Amino acid sequence: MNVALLLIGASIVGVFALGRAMLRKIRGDSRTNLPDEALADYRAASSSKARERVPQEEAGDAQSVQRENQSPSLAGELAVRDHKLAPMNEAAAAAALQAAPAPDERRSISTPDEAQPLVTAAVSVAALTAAPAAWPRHPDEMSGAAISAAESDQPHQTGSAPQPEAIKPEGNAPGDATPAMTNARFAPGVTLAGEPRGETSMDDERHAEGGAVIAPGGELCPRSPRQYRPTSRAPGRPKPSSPEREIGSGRDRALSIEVRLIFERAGFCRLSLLPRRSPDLPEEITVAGSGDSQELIALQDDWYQDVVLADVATLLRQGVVWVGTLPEGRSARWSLSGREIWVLCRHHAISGFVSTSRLILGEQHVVLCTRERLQEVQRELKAAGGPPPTTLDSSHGLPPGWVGLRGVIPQMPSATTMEGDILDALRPLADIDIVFDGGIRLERQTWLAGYPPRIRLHGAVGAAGEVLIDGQPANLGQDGGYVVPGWDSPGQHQVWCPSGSRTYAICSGAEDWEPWDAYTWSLEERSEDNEQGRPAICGALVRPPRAAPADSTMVLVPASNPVLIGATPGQLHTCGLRHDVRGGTCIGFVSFAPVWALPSDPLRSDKRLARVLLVGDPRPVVTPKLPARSASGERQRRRRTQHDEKRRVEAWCSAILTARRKGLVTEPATATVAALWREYKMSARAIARKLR
Amino acid sequence: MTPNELLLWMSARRQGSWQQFRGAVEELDLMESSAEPGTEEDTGDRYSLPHYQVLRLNLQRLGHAEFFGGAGGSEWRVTPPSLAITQHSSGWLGVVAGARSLGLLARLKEVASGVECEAVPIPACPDQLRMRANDSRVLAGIAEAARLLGQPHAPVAILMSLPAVDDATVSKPAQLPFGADWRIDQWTPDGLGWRATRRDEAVSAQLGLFRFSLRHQRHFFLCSRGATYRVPGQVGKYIVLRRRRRQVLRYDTAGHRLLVPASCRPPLLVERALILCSGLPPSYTSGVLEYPDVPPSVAALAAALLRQDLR
Repeated sequence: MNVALLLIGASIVGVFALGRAMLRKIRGDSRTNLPDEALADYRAASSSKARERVPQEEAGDAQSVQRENQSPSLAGELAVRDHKLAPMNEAAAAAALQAAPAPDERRSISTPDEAQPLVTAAVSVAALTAAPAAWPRHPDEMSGAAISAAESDQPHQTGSAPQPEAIKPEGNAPGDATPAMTNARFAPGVTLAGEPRGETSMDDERHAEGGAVIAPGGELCPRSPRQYRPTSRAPGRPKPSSPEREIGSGRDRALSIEVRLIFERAGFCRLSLLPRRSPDLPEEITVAGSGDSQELIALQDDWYQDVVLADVATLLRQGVVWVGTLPEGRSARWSLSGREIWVLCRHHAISGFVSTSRLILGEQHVVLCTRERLQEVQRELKAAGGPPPTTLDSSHGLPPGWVGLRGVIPQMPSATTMEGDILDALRPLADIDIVFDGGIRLERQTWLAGYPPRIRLHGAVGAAGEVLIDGQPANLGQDGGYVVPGWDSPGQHQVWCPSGSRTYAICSGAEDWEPWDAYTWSLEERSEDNEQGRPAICGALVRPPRAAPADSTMVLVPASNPVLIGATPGQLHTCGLRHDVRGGTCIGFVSFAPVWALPSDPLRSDKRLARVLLVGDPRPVVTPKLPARSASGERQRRRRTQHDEKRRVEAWCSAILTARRKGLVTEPATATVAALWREYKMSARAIARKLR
Repeated sequence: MTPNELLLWMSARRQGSWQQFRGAVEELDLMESSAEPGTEEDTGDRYSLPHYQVLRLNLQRLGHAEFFGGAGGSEWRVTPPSLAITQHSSGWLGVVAGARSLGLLARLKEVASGVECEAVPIPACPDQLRMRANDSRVLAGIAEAARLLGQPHAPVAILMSLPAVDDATVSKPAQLPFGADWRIDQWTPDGLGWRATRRDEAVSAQLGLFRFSLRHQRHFFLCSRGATYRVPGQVGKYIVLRRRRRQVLRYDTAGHRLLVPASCRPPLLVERALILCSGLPPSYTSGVLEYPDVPPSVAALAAALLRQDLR
């Protein structure tokens, strides 16, 4: 009996042991096969991200710079926080991987659509357990391996995948701080691969955040461009705000690229890409990535000059990613997500039509779409109302395979899908915005007096209700803009409507402009500083040389009569003759009003040709102030001045008397002028006698 | 919007950066491609010059604004409002140049009511305001009353303040750029055009004007017996023409028209003087630029500076 009981007990223990062993074996499969493979991908992702980060940090990546700029204590806190997060995130990732289907199960899934929710569900667990600091922003934050682990079957993923060499894990030593920190920062990025996207504008930014990888040679290579994903209207999961997230939001994000269409002559149009520019970016930068390398040149403060690409037809579908290296070694990225439908409308700062997220009620648009999407687009535009658009194609300058619809002015709002659809871009919302357009804008919200903006409402204007300007009910003016008495007078103004308010200012521009020496002895290039004795040009003005008296004015006389005589004895100036140019004219700058122009050497002139020219107002001779006798030491000080003055008066008299001696006639040959010249001659003779 | 608004914007701001200027051209919706006679063969694009460049050049030529080196530390600066006065056989002509404001235009309209006054619309230029009188003192009085700076004999005064094209100060000693990326062209005085060449030809040239282009950069070098000088492109052309004794300027004495091949457009300030004679930019016909109403003395002086004989 005892033996029997022992046997029964032993067999029960054996069964338990066998069961445990079997259970262990089952668990062992799931813990060794699946996690090893997935963890390898995960670690590869972490390592490759670390590789990506190191050169960025060395090159002064914006985030690194930002951290360095913070106080040491905060930077240290961040570092500690990253370290602390690492184990927790490893655990979270492992939990996610445990929850993921086994490899066999994966293999049994036949379609990518079936696989995606499972992978997403698996990785979402880790996302939820991860610390806020590790909330990912975009799958681009993952390395290529991570994407291949979590997103490899996504049907919308286009473009060439990153090369395996670029994401090969480094041999980081166990316990090394770098991978731990990297894991904390990037591993959860795997988790949100299938999450719904945020707003469209942000989406573009997210797409490009991780827009570059490090090639084996250490070269910065742009990622393959992203496809546009329409905005989901479904309510998203609330995302907690945290210091880490705020810091993360300040990362070096990619700048957007807009699509621009300009209509030229004869209905021909030009399609180009318009990269954004931020204040810290240089005026010129060479970028590489999609298409040929491009040199971006600043168009204005916020934009680079638009780029016309040869293969724009493909790039509009597939997207564009450009990466450029800044002078200090940092990189800058630009991103345009590819799509098959583009909505373009007028931009307040850029001429032509510029890409926008969706149609706006009452505004004029151009819609570009692929030929395959044309019917859908036309159907949506018909639903939005408005006049029938004109069709553009490659004969108008559009890229092959693309069709343009010009003159799209939607009149009715349309309901958009909850899950997000590319066609939502053609379904205008019933929002109302206050818009200022036209006028002459001097600053951001300031217009020139006399050229105020036109105040309009965008969107469902019919439901806008009352519009107030400066608190007064506004009416529509002749140009279709809202006005009230004094709306365009200098000062600050406010426009209000039930959906919001905006302010604008009217101010007077400059009313005083000073001349300057723009060109001195130059035909079109920068002036030389050593040309002090030359006249300068500023617009239509000729300015006196710097060496001339400040109050001097320009006089132009024939080269035959370069000696200028004023009404006051001593007022004499000889214009410099140009020997390199036979222009028959010479220019002088004098600080008195010249009356006569005399030949430089009357005694040697041809009496038949030489003349005494009246070149100014016929003013009589001003009686000279003869030097007063001084009795004190002042006489000593004045002696030199008097001597100079005397010499000038002598020269004045001599010039007149020499011309008289030659018997030159005056011009104009009138009696009045001749009488005036006689008066000058008599005065010169009398003064000369006194000076002897 | 028109270039009038652009000039008002520039006047209100006085000066600014090139990006701001381009931004204003964009915002005022002035962008469209324009054919620019005489410069197309210098742009690399035979058919058009960007419209903002056309506007910039026109504003410079008409004396409304100075750009870059001439802008006194800014990248553009509007010149003070002025009245450029020129004597013609039929009387005196005043051309308004420089800054404008609504107040200034109102003053001008008020004080110029006694003389013949007109606003001439010109493509890609602000309207040219011109007034005629039989006496220069009338125009000087208008300028003073409207608070404009009067410039008597503006074309001659400008030309008399310029060096000749072969003046030593115009050409700066330089070295030729090196590198395989440069596109090199030589200007041929026979065909008045550019032909592709190589750097070693520039080095060994007896005399030639060479253009080195790399993306948007463009440099002109005058190479003469091993020596190299950097010169403005249009200046270099006239130096080569002088050495080859080739005369390209023609003057219609009866019609007071100065005719220049489009590829030999005069240097900026010479052209400004020629334009201020009438207030009108040259018309373009069959490869020839025609400057109207140029008095013989001005034509002679311009030809002398360009080292050309008037035919």
